[in-house]
Amino acid sequence: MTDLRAHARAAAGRYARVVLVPLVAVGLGLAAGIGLVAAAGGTPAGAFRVLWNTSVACSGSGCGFFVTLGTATPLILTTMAAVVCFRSGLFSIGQEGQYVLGALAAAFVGYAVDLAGPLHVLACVAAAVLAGALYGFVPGVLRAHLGVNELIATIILNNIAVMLASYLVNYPLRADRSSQAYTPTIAGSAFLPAFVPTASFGVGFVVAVTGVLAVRWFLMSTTAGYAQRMAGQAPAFARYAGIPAKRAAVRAMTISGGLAGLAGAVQVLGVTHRFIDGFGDGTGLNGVTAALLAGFAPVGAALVAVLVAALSVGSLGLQIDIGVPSEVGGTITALLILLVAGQAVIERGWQRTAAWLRRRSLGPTPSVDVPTAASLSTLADGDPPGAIDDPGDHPARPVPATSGPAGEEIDDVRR
Amino acid sequence: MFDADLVQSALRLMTPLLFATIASALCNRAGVLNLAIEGKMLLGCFVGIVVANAAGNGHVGIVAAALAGAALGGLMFVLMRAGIDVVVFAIGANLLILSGTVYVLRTFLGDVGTWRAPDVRPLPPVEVPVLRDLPGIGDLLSGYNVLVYLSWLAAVAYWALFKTVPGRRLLAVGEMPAAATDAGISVARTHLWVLLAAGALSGVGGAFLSVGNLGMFTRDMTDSRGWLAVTAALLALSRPLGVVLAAALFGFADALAVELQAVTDVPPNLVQFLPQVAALVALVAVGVRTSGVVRRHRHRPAARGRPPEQTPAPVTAPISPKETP
Repeated sequence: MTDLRAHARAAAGRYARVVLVPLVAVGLGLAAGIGLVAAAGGTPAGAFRVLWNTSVACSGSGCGFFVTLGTATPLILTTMAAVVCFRSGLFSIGQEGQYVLGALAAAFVGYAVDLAGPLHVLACVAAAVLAGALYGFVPGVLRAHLGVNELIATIILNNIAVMLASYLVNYPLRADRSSQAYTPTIAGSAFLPAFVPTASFGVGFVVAVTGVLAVRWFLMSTTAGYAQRMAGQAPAFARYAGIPAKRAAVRAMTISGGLAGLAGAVQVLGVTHRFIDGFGDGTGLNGVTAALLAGFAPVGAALVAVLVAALSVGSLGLQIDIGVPSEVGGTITALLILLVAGQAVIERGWQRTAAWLRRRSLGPTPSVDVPTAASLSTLADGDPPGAIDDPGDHPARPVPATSGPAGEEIDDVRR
Repeated sequence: MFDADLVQSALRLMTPLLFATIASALCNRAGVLNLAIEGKMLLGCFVGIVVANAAGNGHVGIVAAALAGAALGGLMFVLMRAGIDVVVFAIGANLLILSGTVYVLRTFLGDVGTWRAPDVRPLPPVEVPVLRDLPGIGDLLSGYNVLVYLSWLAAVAYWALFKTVPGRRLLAVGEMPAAATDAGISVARTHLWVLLAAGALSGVGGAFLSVGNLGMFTRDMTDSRGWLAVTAALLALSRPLGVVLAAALFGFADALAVELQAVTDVPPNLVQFLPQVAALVALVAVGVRTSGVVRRHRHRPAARGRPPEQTPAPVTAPISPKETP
């Protein structure tokens, strides 16, 4: 009986943390947003009306909801890309570069190759996934076998990808000498059909949802996915259980890259129909943001991606309709990231207080650790679990790979 | 094409990068992965010009930019001590400053994407007596604004730092915090000073773009220079001489790209491409050096001159063989 009650209390506490903390973060973010709108001369009520009208509601000219889903389509896939590597303990932000290269590959196959209908679409998608996967494979191998910090490697690889794509679209693949560089339009046989043409909402969204379900299935229901999660969340256990952590790391980065490449393909085949210079508009980094906000749960992260898309669609409406800068959207998103980053700290404070209270009154109860953004990415660096709670002088995130001994950062993967 | 103009342009373009690269290298050395350099630069860029405009004096703006950057560094320190993941914080802070500066620009300064500060004139060029009189290269080295020289001074200071006791302690903190703590060095205090200094340097680097060079602010004015600085520090392996060379390489590539675009048909991207590839190669080289493949052959000062079987096995992390150039 006591056991049952203790379990119930632990479960309640767990759900309170998982659900309540993000809700509080969103609430605080929205409160800050209201303040920003008010400071810019808008009324909160008016701002909410505009947000709702632009990003959700339907009117004569079409449905805002579809615009949001259309905007969310590539974002959901880059979010899944981020989820796959974060869940495996790899803090890669290479989605932007993989997205750009995937889009370029899809566009190239789209106009340069002549194939019939569905086959052409498949070829474009395959090229994009391959390009993205290769671009994820490289930092994956560097991380697993040489201990190169994947975060720094992917920052550089992003720069390289963006410059390479910009060069290709400006010179060898350029369609004509117009002011903006773009490739020729892809063949009609490679188009992904749209349900609502004005909103860029189409088959791509179905692909994205399938991607979410596939990622969820892979991470939660397959042996490989389990190995990856363990390698990321419990490196010591993974090592003890003989999980091949190197292979898990490379596989995670490759799958993640493939998903980001797929996002690029969906955007090119469904929306832009060509690769345009400056294609990397932050869709990759927004995927990282959505994944961070959702605590790396696949379905939750997809929902957050839709929310982020709605916020960006809606804040454009704010600017057009009531003259409030659209950067309010970005500011709110940034505040949310900061609040989520602080979540671990708040939770720890809460846990300490609760533990202190328990010691004084009830006696011990089982405590359940929920991995958070901070604790996961700390684990990614190979700290022993619990190191983050160490009140001593050790930094939470030690020794970047840039100087001195970079090796031990990755020991968990290498050994 | 390789004329005085190109060199002068490269020296100007490398100035903000040099500040930020030193900031990034300093943090690397102390064991803090500081990815908020971009945000700190942009903050300094913005605060610098707003304050310079209000005070009617560019130099006041520079000081304000340094203070703003240092304040953000201090905040980062406090949050880091509280247990926040600094990488996630940095991603959030960069985005917040990018969006926030444009928000303030549009809301309070009434401009769409570019703000020409009405009361700010670019910093005046300084003729440095000794440098100016150097035969041959005098013209190349003199006649920039004060920030260019300040960045050179910062580079010298970064070199000199590791000759001093506090600099050595900083290295100890970065290499092995536990050992440093045992030796009575406060890791926290070291991190505080490093983050404050890095913030100030980044802020001044950003202010060079707005106050020092153009007297205006545009949306995302730093344009990923902070990330470039992180890359450059990496390419330099955070070493003092390397920092200067890496910043110069990136600055020179930028200058060459601008010039190539004006004069020839050579794609400018290709020139800017090379330093990035170099940085990637450096990253891989560091990986190879510290990975198991080559570890056996690493030279360990403690074991020097002893036969291999007597060498003490490394208990925890291997100590980097060479601290200073």
